[in-house]
Amino acid sequence: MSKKRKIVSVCVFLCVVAILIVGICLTGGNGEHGDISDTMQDAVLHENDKIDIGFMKVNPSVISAFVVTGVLFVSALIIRIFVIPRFKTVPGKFQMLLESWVDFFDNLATSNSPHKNKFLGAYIFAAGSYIFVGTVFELLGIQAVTVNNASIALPAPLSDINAAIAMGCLSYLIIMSGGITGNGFKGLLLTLKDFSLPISMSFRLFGALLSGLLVTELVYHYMALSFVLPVIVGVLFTCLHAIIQTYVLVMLTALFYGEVSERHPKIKKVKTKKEKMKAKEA
Amino acid sequence: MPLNIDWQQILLHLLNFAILAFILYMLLYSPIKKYMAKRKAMYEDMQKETQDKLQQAEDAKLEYQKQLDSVEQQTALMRKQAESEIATYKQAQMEEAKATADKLVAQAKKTANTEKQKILSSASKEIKELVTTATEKIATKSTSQSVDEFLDEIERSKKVEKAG
Repeated sequence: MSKKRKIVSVCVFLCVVAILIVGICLTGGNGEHGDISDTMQDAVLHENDKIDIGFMKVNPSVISAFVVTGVLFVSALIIRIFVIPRFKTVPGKFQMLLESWVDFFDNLATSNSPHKNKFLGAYIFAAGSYIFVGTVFELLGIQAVTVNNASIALPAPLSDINAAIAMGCLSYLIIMSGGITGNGFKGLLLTLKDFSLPISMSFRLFGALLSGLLVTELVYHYMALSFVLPVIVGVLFTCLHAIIQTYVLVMLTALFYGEVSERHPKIKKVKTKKEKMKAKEA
Repeated sequence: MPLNIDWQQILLHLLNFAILAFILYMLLYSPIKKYMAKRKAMYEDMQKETQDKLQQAEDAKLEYQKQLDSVEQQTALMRKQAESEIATYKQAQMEEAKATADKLVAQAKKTANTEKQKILSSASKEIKELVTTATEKIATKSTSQSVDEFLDEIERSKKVEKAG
């Protein structure tokens, strides 16, 4: 490409950018759609953006959860039918990815709960996959129609408080089941001791994912912020959230599971002299 | 409910996740883990087999080393025996050679003495003969010379008488 042609191309590009900016300023005023507080409230509470699924009205995150489940189911089925039977002793790139994926959660379960980890491994594998794929799913921006006939981009399933509570409480129940099977009544008490765990787990997940959603909503609310910035706040934040929240929840679940299911050896009580004397007399 | 918490939706999420967890366990987690465990077992078997073979090789090496040491010991012993036998044989040979030499010397001496005696007797005999012959010759020579001188004197006296 000659120097003259390069200069012409840059000039044309700058002109297009300038025209677009002028157009944005002239057409949209401030570029705001309604009140930001309403948008934020909708993003948190989903009072006005419910979706009708036939027999009930649900939050958009329920649809997201169904879609994520469907995607994971189809992917798993394809992998099971076409990939796993062709596994080689020396793995290829995709096989390596799958093995690393399973191995990561399995190792996490084994290292945090060495004595009892089969069920835990399966649970954190499913939970980790669900949280990761669910969070990344937000990037696709799949549209749905609300009961008010408004278009809405499906959010991450766990950015809804109900989904986060479901995941947090289920993790707590799994931890409790580990405590009961590992230590019986003592395990139950050990789990109940950390009664704040389901709340903290739920709200940690909800807060982390909601914050990402709110920041993204905030950025998209103003048209002027819709250049370059969404790449950082939208893609990078979402990807980081996906990795961090997956790791945090599965790690906490594995850690508490291992703690409550660990069998402690009974410590024999040392008899005092008086007790020994009494025992002799008896 | 505060924060729009809806138990029905929580249960929906739970049901959804339970189904997903079951599917993922059946379709991915379990088969991949089984495959990995199978491969691990295969490599462990291979490692065990290799260890066994290595151990066998080590044992064989030790056995061979032992045999080698034993052979070396036997060789040393045999060499020692052979050296001892050679020394004994050498000694016997030396003694035999010495005895033979002594015998030969004695025989030679004896032969030499006999020869000497023979030579001496022959020499004395020859000397006797020579002496006899010489004596005879001397005796013969002196007689004939006297006769010759007598005859010569006679002849000369005859010549003088004739001249005279």
